[in-house]
Amino acid sequence: MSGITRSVRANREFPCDQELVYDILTDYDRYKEWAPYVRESALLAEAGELAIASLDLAQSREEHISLECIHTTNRSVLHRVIEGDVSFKGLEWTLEPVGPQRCRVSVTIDGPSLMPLGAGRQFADAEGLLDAVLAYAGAYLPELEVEGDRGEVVLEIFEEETGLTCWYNGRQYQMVPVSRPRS
Amino acid sequence: MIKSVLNVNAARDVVFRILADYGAYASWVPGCARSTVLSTTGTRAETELVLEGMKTITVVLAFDATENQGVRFELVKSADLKNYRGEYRLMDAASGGGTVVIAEIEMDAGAMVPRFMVDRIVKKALEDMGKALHARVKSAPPQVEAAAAAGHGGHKRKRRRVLQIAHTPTGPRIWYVGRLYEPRK
Repeated sequence: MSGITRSVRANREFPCDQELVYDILTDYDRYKEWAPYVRESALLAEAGELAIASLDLAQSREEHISLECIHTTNRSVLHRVIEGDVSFKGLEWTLEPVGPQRCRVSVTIDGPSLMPLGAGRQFADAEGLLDAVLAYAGAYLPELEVEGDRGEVVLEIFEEETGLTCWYNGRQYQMVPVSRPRS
Repeated sequence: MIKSVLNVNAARDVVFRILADYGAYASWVPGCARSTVLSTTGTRAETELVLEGMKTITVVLAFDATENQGVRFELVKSADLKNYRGEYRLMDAASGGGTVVIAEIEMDAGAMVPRFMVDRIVKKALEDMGKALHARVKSAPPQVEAAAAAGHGGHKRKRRRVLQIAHTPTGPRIWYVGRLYEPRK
């Protein structure tokens, strides 16, 4: 379908290396944890630098999209919509180092000049996407980047390969599932 | 170009063999009344298909298969279509249980049939073919069907913060998987 198209761009400096952002952007099973209006997400297939991902978007109406994703390790991630009735055609993420543990993340969204209503439009909010990735990156940083007073951390829970660990009042605990005695 | 992604619960070689068996299309592809392989040269096979829809049409397609990777086709002859080409690309499913088929089809039925109508017909045909492929796979020989690949390694799970609760001068601050919350009564 032809028509007037436009690109929406945004970029931001992140307090982490580009490898972390690249890992987040290529972990499609976890898009539902950070991407705005993504209700379900899954990696369907992967071969070399190509991946196929599936996203269920939800807001005013439900939409399902399939993305063809082209990865250039730690440098760029290109998403092309290959299935689904959404406003945007594709997204391109580019990552570049700007210093030790810092990188610049840019996102470009290509779509028609008039974005229709629905979750597809919300997903196509470039600034919102950067906000979401930045907030989620905090999960992997030694210190959380938060605005204002950092306060006194009293409890933190981390997920590791061996299970969950907990920091409470400056001490670390391994979290062990409690098994209830059978009555 | 209409695109569709199908998840098929069978190994890639099984799906490939089904898609590359052009002479058997009539036995499982919805709307395909007859399929006859006219000639074969290397990986290329010219096949005549009789397709029943609102109107019965006969097309000769040139299929070109790449072992376990996919099948392309293009129109050789048709009295009803100006263009008909497409591709089925196959990838191992990340879940380890089967194959992902990426189907891309372009059809031009000439100026008399509007583009939106053609697109709708192709979209419906792809949906129906997806369902039929699922059914066809179930009847595939069990020894090859069981050869589904093991799942992908997945992302290496780094240590990640899930929850942080902090006391601040303005009250408790709760961070949970990338989002900040403030408790309210």
